[in-house]
Amino acid sequence: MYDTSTNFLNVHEWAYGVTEIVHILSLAVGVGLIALVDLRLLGFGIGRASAERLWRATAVVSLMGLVLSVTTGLMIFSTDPVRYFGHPTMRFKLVLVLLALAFNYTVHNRVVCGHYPRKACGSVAVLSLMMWVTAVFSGIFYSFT
Amino acid sequence: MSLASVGQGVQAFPLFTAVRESRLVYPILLSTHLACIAIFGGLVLITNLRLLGWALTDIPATDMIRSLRRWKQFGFVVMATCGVLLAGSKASEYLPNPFFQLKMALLTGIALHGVYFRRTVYRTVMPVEPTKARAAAVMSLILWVGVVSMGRWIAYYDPPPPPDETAAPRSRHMNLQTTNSVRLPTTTCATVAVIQVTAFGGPMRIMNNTAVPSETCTSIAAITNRAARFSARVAC
Repeated sequence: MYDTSTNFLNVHEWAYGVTEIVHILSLAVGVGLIALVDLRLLGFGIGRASAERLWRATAVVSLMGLVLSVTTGLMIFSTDPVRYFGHPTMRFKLVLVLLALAFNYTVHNRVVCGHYPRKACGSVAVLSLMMWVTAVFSGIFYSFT
Repeated sequence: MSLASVGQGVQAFPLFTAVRESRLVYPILLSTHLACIAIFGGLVLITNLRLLGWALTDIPATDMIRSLRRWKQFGFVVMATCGVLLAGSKASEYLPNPFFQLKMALLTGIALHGVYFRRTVYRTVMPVEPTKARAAAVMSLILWVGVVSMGRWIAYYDPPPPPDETAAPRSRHMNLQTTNSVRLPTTTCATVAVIQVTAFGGPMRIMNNTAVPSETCTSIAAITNRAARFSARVAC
């Protein structure tokens, strides 16, 4: 049986804090670079490079950010899995993050790398931004609801 | 005058009080603050990756900085507005918090770094010198990582416990409310006034632990309080 009181993050408060910080920083790396591509799809930001070019230049770093973010997220989750999993807001966030990740590497990827009409690009970018922002919001609202 | 008492004054502003007492506004501001880190952090990161020469090296750094400037400014304004409202609404806790102080110091560092590299990196029309660019990028990354880390660390600071009233009965902080003793509902003006009167000349500790009526009550209760406190001080 898994005992949460033996979890390293519960034993050492500093480790919990450090994990949270890494979670936020890696989120900024992963989501931030995806947002950069989304802004370009909407026609803003670095005009000299196409969205595809930006995506190719940042894909590895943003993947590393997302992997680190998910890893630290799961580490925090492991400190009290029953409470986290039972909470509706956290469940919503988990599902949303899975959807956003899947969306990013399927539809988003294809639209960025292909030739699609402006409207399609715009709606994919807006959807992607909305998903990530909502994920951040639900992470915060979890502790307030 | 301590930082905490300055903070009390700041957070008493109607706007900050409204933020603090709202069940919805506070988490919305906090989420927006964090979403700004997530969205606009990418812009800072890509600029620094370019300055380090690790990404998009075929695009001139000056071009990239210029095309992202507006967006960074927009993001920063939204983020800072949320930040001011969040910190202001809990100013009495935030101002004495060493991690908050460090965060503000690091933000000042970011401003200074921007000024220092303004001519050579951030506002130049000439190609950026690689050594200067790398120095600016490293500074920027260290400072921003520090700011985000200290921001999260604010929540981990435990303020020192309030001074022990029994050890120092004639403390200067007569109005300080203590957490470890009697606390009356602050709205009950009559109760407060009665206690002030009955404690007249009695043990100072009871009075020190009673809520200050001037904050919530009418002027009569406040005057009674002042008079009782004054006479107690003379009597002791």
